[in-house]
Parts: sequence; structure tokens; C-alpha cells
Amino acid sequence: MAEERRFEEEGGQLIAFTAGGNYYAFEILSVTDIMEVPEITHIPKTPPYLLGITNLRGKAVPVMDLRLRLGLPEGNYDHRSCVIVIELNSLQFGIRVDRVADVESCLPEQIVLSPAENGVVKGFVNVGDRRIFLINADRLIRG
Amino acid sequence: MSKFEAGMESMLDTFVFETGGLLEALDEILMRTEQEEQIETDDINEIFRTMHTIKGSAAMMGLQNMSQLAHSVEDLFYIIREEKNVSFDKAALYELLFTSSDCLKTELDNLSDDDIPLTDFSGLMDKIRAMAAQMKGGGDDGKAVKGSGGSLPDGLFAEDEPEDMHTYRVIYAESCAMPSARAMVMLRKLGRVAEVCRTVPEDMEADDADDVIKASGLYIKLITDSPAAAAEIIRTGINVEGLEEVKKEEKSVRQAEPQKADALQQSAAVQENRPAKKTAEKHEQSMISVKLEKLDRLLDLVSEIVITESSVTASPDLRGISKNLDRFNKSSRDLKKLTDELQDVVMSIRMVPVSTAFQKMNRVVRDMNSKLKKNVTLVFKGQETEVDKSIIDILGDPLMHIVRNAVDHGIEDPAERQRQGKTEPPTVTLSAGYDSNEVVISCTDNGAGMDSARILAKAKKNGLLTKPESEYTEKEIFSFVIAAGFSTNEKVTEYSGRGVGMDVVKKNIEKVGGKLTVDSVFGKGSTFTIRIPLSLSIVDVLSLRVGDSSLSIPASSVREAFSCKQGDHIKDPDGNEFVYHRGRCLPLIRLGSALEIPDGETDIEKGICIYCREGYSEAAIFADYIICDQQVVVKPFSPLLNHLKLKEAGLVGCSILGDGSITLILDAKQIMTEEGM
Repeated sequence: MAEERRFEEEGGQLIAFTAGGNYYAFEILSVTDIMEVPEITHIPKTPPYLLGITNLRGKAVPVMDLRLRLGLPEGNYDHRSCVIVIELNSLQFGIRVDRVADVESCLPEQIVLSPAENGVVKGFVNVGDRRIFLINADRLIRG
Repeated sequence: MSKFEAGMESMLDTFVFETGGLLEALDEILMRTEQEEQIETDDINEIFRTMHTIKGSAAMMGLQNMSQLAHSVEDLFYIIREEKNVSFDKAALYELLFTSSDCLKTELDNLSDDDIPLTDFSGLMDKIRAMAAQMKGGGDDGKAVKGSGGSLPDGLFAEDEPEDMHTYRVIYAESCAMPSARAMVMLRKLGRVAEVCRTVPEDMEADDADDVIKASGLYIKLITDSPAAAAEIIRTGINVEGLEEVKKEEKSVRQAEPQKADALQQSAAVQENRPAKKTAEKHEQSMISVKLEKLDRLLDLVSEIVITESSVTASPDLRGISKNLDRFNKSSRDLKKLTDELQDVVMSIRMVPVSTAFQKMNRVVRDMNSKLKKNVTLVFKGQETEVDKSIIDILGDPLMHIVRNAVDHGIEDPAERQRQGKTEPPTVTLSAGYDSNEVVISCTDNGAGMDSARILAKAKKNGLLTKPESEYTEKEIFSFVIAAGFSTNEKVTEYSGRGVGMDVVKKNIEKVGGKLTVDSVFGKGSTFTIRIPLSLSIVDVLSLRVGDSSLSIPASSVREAFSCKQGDHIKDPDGNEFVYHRGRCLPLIRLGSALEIPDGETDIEKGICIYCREGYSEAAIFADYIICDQQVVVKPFSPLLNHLKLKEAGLVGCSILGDGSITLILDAKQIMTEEGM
């Protein structure tokens, strides 16, 4: 948590990606892998957004679909779709997105915190004419 | 605010581990020597040393209460050691020693919990001091008068002393039990900014160092470029109350007001220094202690290597290659041999003999003997049997319950034994051994045994019967005593009933895939047997295909697999489905619909039925087909999925197979419960 707050105060680098036409981002420090969509084993009796678990170098890492998690219609995934693996308290979680856009550097003054407390989107970053939604990974994963 | 000195968190694990070990060893000595006429000098010295060490390390952690308690016991043994002819009440002494040891152990266990305050041992310490005073024959126990001013020790200033040599006098707080320990920490820290040339007293580890420091303070002579920094370090040292610089001309300059020292400023560098030195000292030992987490990680990695190895050597890509693969095959055989050996070695690293768990029972039986006057002998068999460390940890509590029960309810009163004409001494036997892939640990007593008729009557009264009385076998009847709701509220000692907390014991053992069974011969005694799989993470499973999913049921819950004929399939008007098998009517659970997996086989004749049984629930589980039976390494689901309640749905974890694919591990019992069996 402390690290995230530091990001909001000091700025840093983001990995921006798209899902359903919007731009979203994680802080680059929380991302451990970006990979092609792997083979995913479905877990029964779980919500549809949870795609299942995948074998990431011998670890069973859960993977979710960002569109479904955010209540957007399921997209068409192609060879440019990928899974971003983020690390939360040293536990990994994969998130399937339409495509990864860019690595953006941002200054603290570019970051606007969301007025909604503890929302899935914790803030916004304006880069050029783009508005990037900064995701609260903890909220996204724990629901 | 934690209980020990700030900055000592990094030492907590080591402290708890080492002190725990010392106390275990102490208990062992006490148990061994309790019945002897005379305590051997070696043992006295050993007890003295143990207490001295505990005193020192507790003081280092800032745990005054533990340190002082250990100190009082140490004093007691100092007298015993020095005055060979001192007479004392041995029973009372041992009672005090056992109590002290228990108090220290409890305190250790509670250390990491900030909600439990430090215990005040003054009552116990008073008793110990009283005994010490008695031994001394009421002699004076006055301590050395604490000198505050005092003259400078002789030879503090050498003739040819360099000009830039600084001399400091440090005074420690009166409440500080072991200033020498504090001083050592401080001196090490000082080493970073100054060169410490000499101290008075010279040797901090000497027996009288504490007394000297307490009496006249600690003198430190050092050469430094930054006297201010050095003074600051000394002043902020733990429990330092005053600091003055002593000049050769006897012109003392008071440098600091007495201040309450907090260890807040302890720098990280010192913390790192300390453990480093510790390991350096231990180099000559042939044993090292390793954190269990590291071993867990090592075992994980080895399982990965084993899996990866088979996915490389049995890669489907190799099949298309027509070329000669002789060299590849030879290398992969070598690789397999090495990985197998690696796996064996890593498994064996985690193995500890069960004697560690058994030894603790000595204490339990001793305490009960002194209370119940049953004079029970505890016998060990096969205590050299090695099991995984995690199993030992699990065994502790169940074993204690079972042994307690055996002594309390199993063994009769001496008078009763005489009436029964039993001449053999009352005995409880703990034995351990292997059976196929399981560790078998049993506790046998030669006491009263259990009366099956009365247990059955009681079970009937409590409404535990699920079939006609006459159909119950002895084994099933005895298993009532470990069932929940059997005998928790009524006094059951009348027929040697067991079961106080036994259902909890059973549950704990079952949680790790083990089994608890009871056997008894009325009038001859009872046996409680615990069976636990050798390794908790590697499980035999039967893997099934349902739709696109691969699901695995632990082989321990599978009775048999069979294909069902259309005629044996029954559907009742409520929509319940059953299958007839060997004259029994089993409820049918279709995995596809139970777990909401689409595209599974629905035709009962085309799929396969797995007859599963767990405890008293049984069912036929229906799947598309059997993939294989295999050994897998079970991985629990990521804690990030905890909120999805997968366990409640009957999914315990997953396993990554040799080809990289994943199979989900089911809990047959949970699935049957979910489906209302």
C-alpha cells in the first residue's frame, strides 16, 4: 500500500493497455510478466470473469478477463491479446487484456485521484489526449 | 509496542528456537534425574549453564521477566554447585524447576502475540528465592552495594597512552539484569566509529562482569575521529543511564544527563552484524538449523524439476524424430537418476525422528502420575522412525490428547487393578512404524478397555445410530468414541469412556489426510492408531475426464470403478438419481452437473461410475472416462482466490502434470456433503 501511495505522490512508469476501447494501466513495478494468452484451465463454480488457472513456470496462477471483470462484453481476442501478470503481496495474478499499448512515464501532477473511495479505478492519468484509468489491483482481484 | 526491545525482531525467531531447544533439553535432564538419589555434578552444571544462557539471551531481547526468572534458578543451582553438602527438599526443588520451565515455555509461545502481556513471575521467583535462602541456611542474601561514585580502577590510565585516547565511564540502569550483554551490543556498534582499545572489566563474558559493571560502571577506552558520534552511540545504548568522559587529570566532565535509554536508534547495521557473528561461531558445528520455509521452497522446486524433467524427456516433439536418439536417451536416463536421487535427499532433509514428539509425552505422563497416583510407565517403540517435519508438528496435540486419555481413563486405579488381579505394571506404549505409504503411530494401554455393549447403548441414546444395532461391527462401535457428540457432556469415566476432545483430534488428523481408529478388548486395554500419509503434498489420485476438464479424486476415497447398465439406473419422481451396485443403492452424483461443467457425457452406459466412500457417506460419482491413476503434487489454490470459497465447493487444489497441463483435485467428501449425502 505504501508503495502505491508513493506512486501517486511521486509519479513513475505505467504499463497502459486497452480493454473495450478504454485505456487502463498498472504501475510498472507491480507487473512481473506479459505473455501471450496461455492455455487456461477453467475452475468450476467460479464467476465467468475468472478464466481459470494457468501454468506459469510451475506455478498455478489464476487468470481473469479484464472486460468481463469490468462488466464489459467479451471481446474478440487475437494474436495481439495478452495476459499481464501482476504481483500482489508476492502472489501472482494474470489479467487478460485486448492489447498492451505503451509504457508511459507520468509526473505526479498528471495523476488525478478518483473521488470514489476504494474503487476499482483509483485515479486517472492524462497523457496527450488520452485518459488512462489507473487500476487498483487489490480491489480488482479481491472483488 | 512489542514486548521485546525494538530492533530485536530479527532475532526473535532465533531466540525462540534456541531457548525452546534449551528448555527441551532441560526437561530431559530433569526427567532423567528426578528419580535418582543424587544429581550428578555434570547435570547440575548443565542446568546451571542452560539457565545462564537463557538469562543472557532473554536479557539481550529485553525480556526482563524471563531473564530474572532464569537468574533466580541459576542462583539456586549456583548454591547447589558450590556447596556440595547442601541439603534440600528434592521433590519441592523439582516441582519448582518444572514450573519454571513450563512458565518460560509458555512465555516463549506467547512472545509473538502482542495481545498477551508479559507474565509477572515474581510469585514464582519469591518461592525460588525462599528455597535458595533456606539452602544457604538463612544466610544473608544481600547484594553487593552498588557504588555510584567510586574511585577509578587501578591501571585505567597507562603511562604511554596516546593523546587522542578517550575514556568513558558508562553507568547502567539498576533494573538492567545483564549490563554485560548490553555492553557487548554497544561495543560492537562502537566499532564502526571508533577503535575500542580496552574496557574495564576486560572480558564481558566473564562470570563477574555483571557485578563489576553494576558496582563501578563500565569503562571504555577508545580512539576515534568523531568523539561526538561515539558518545552518542554510548548514550543511546540500551539501559544506559549515565555517561561521563574520564580525563587522565581526574577532571571528570559530565557529558550527559541521565536519560532513559530507548533502543529506537539501533541501526540496521548492528542487527546485521549480530547474526553474522553468530553463524561465524557456529562454523565448527556439523549441524545447522534452517528455516522450514526454505526447505518448503526447496521441496517445491524439486517437485518442479521432477515434473519438468519428465516433460522434457517425454516431450511429444520427440515422437516425430526418426533419427537415432541413443545419446539423448542415455542422457535423459542419467538425468532421471539424478533427479530421483535429489528428490530422495530433499525429502530426507525434512525427516525428523518421532522421538521428538514422543519425548514430550514423558512430561505429560509424569505430571499425571504425580496427580493421579497411577504410577503409569510410558514405553516407546520405534521412536527412531522418521517422518516429515510437518507431520511431527501436526502430531503434537493429538498425541497428547490420546496419551492423557489413556492414562486418565484407560488405566484403572491401583486398587481397581488389584481387584482385577492385574499384576503387570500399568503401561502405556507409544509405537511408530511405516505401513505402505503411511506412518502408523499407535498408543496402547493395558487398562480396562472398553465395553462395546455400553458404547452402543450410549450411541443409541445420543441418536448416533444410522443402521440397526445388530449390524454394527466391533470396529464401528469403538469408532463412536471418537465421533463428534458422543461423550462431551456426560461423565464417561464410569466405563472408561474416551472422547473428551477426541472428535477434535480426529478432525485434525483427517484434515491432513490421516485416519484415527480405535480398537479395544474389554478388560485388556485399548489401542488408538493414527495413520498419516508419509508426505502430505504427494497424493495418489484417480484422474477423470468430464467435458474438457481433468478432475482428480484422491485414491483414498475411491472404492472401485464400474460401468453401470441402463437397468441399474434409477430416477425417482423427485429427480434424485441412484445406481444399483452389488445389491446396494448408491446416490448418483454427476460431476458435470454438480460442478457445472458443460459438454460432459450424459448417457449412464457410456460414462464411468466411481464408487466413493468417506466415513459414512458414499456415492457413485459419474464422469466421462478415467484418464489414469497417478501420483501428483497437490498445490493449494492461490490465496487470492480465497473469497471464491472453492473448498466449500469441493475443490481442494490443483496439480501441474508432466505435460504442463493442470488437473483439479476434488474433495470427494465435500462433494458428497454438498450434494446432500
